Amino acid sequence: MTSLLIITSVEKLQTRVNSVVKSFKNIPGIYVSLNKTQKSTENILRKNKINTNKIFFIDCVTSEKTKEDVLHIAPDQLDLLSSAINTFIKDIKGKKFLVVDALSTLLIYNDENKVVKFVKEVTEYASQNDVKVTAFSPKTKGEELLNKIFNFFDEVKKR
Amino acid sequence: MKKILLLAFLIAGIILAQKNVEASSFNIQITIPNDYKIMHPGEELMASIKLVNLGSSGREDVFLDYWITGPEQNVILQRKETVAVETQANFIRFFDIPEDAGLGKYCLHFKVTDFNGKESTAEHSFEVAQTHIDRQVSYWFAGILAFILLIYIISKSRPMLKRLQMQVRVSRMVKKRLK
Repeated sequence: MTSLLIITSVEKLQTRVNSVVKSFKNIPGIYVSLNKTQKSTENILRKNKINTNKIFFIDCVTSEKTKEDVLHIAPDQLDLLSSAINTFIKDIKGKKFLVVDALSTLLIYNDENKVVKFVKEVTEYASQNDVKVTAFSPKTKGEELLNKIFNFFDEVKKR
Repeated sequence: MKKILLLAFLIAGIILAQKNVEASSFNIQITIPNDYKIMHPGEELMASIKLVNLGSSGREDVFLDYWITGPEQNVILQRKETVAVETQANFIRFFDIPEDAGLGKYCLHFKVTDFNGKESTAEHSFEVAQTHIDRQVSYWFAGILAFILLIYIISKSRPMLKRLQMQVRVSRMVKKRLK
């Protein structure tokens, strides 16, 4: 299994994210944060005793550069976001993971079909490069989108 | 009697005809410098004229006729003057090309008539092309077009440059953290 879509309630979303990231242990990975700032996400992960040293954050919430080693990409720039993810996947050698938190946020800034295209590109590239992809989405948001992207994931879990 | 009259007319006709076709003793050379071979409406054409008197050794007054014909053989300019020539004469003449002259091939004609009415002619062609102003406007237009194209290319290549910049940054980040 290389790609997983987790659909969960808004309340449980962060807990699920924490447990997934924790399960990757010391594997380097990419964390695409679409609904929280990198600072806030990193704080939450650290509070949950998750080592963030090998996690590369792509912050789609903060527009200004806060840290040298964090990428800031606007959520409406899907091409750039996809390209950044691909570059990380290419440059990180060995095992790696990709977490997208949370997919449905992209619908606020983009046309549904563009989001579908983005998901397809990312999951395809990830599967070709042995990357464990986990995307999260709150239950209530973007039902139509979720129906369209189900097929791009190896597994879909509704919790 | 009739025969005599007819013969007299015939002889007179031959003499007159001979007089008409007889060329003057002048050899003419017209030169238009290369810089003036392509003119623009409103400019001044320069021509260098060389007259060589092959017949007479003394000073002789001659009549000069200049005219310029346009692409449709219409005369656009005409001028006359009298000059005194001994054995040879060189002179430069300027001719104003009218502002409304159409574009195309033109011809500068030159005729020398000596005191006996004998004539020699010469001609030289030149071209009237688009004006400098028109050309300048074209250059400006091309320049503006090139500028717009450049802006378009820059704007189109900006996302690509941004992506490249981001890729370099990602590579650096990964190298730095996972070394």
